[in-house]
Amino acid sequence: MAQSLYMDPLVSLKILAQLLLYVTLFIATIHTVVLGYHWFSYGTSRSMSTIALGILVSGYVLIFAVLAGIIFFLI
Amino acid sequence: MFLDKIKLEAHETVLSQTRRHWFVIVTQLLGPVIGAFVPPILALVFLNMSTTTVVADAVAPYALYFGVFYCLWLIFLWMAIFNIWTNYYLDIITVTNERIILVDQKGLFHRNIGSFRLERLQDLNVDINGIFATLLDYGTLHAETAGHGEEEFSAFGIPHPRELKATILEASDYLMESAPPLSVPSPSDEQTSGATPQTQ
Repeated sequence: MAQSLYMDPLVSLKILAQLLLYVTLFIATIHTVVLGYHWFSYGTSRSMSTIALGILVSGYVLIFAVLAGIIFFLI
Repeated sequence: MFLDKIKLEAHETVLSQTRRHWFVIVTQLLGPVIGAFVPPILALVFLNMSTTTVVADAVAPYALYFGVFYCLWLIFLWMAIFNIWTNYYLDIITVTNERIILVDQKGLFHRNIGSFRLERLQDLNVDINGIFATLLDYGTLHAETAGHGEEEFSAFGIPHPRELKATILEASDYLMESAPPLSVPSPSDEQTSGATPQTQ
């Protein structure tokens, strides 16, 4: 029983990293929605807003894919 | 979109619509771009400085966690970059034949929209300060308007400010020339028109 109280520090760090991934994913989603709302509501060009949204989402997808790859497959 | 929100008046046409100079956003983006290279450079410097294998062996199991931290750092910078771009994209000076509309996006949830009628425009100054501003032709536009309390506004980083000033002054002059002359009604006019003040 006493041994189960002691966790491997790497395992707990992995859980922390997963938690950070989900929290950051949530924040990034909110950030994207807020920016998209601003661009399409107050922007001057719908095409420019669409391109910007595409670049923003593409960047997020790329970084989150690398992050998830490290956390779920390499650690 | 933007023009639907500001609701142009009848016979109002947009003469000029401008954002800040590209150099302004480039200087603002330098911070996040440089920040993206800082963690790997620091890691390399740290590894090169630690000559003993003891340190390298101690750090090795956490190398992937450095990758996690770096990805989170990049996400933070990506957000910062698009916040800067949003401020750039949504900050617009619109000059119409009747007014100047100044939109200043101060933050994601802080937006300042000023509208100044050209007939109230009293003074318009251009300030070009610095070597880059001189070479790239951008500067600050200051304007004072007459009113109940004298208002003034300024917009920095405006490209080709002298041309914009000329456009505004031209529109202002045209508006003043085309405006009907002010006439003071005589007492006899008031009596004939029947416009008596109502008392309650």
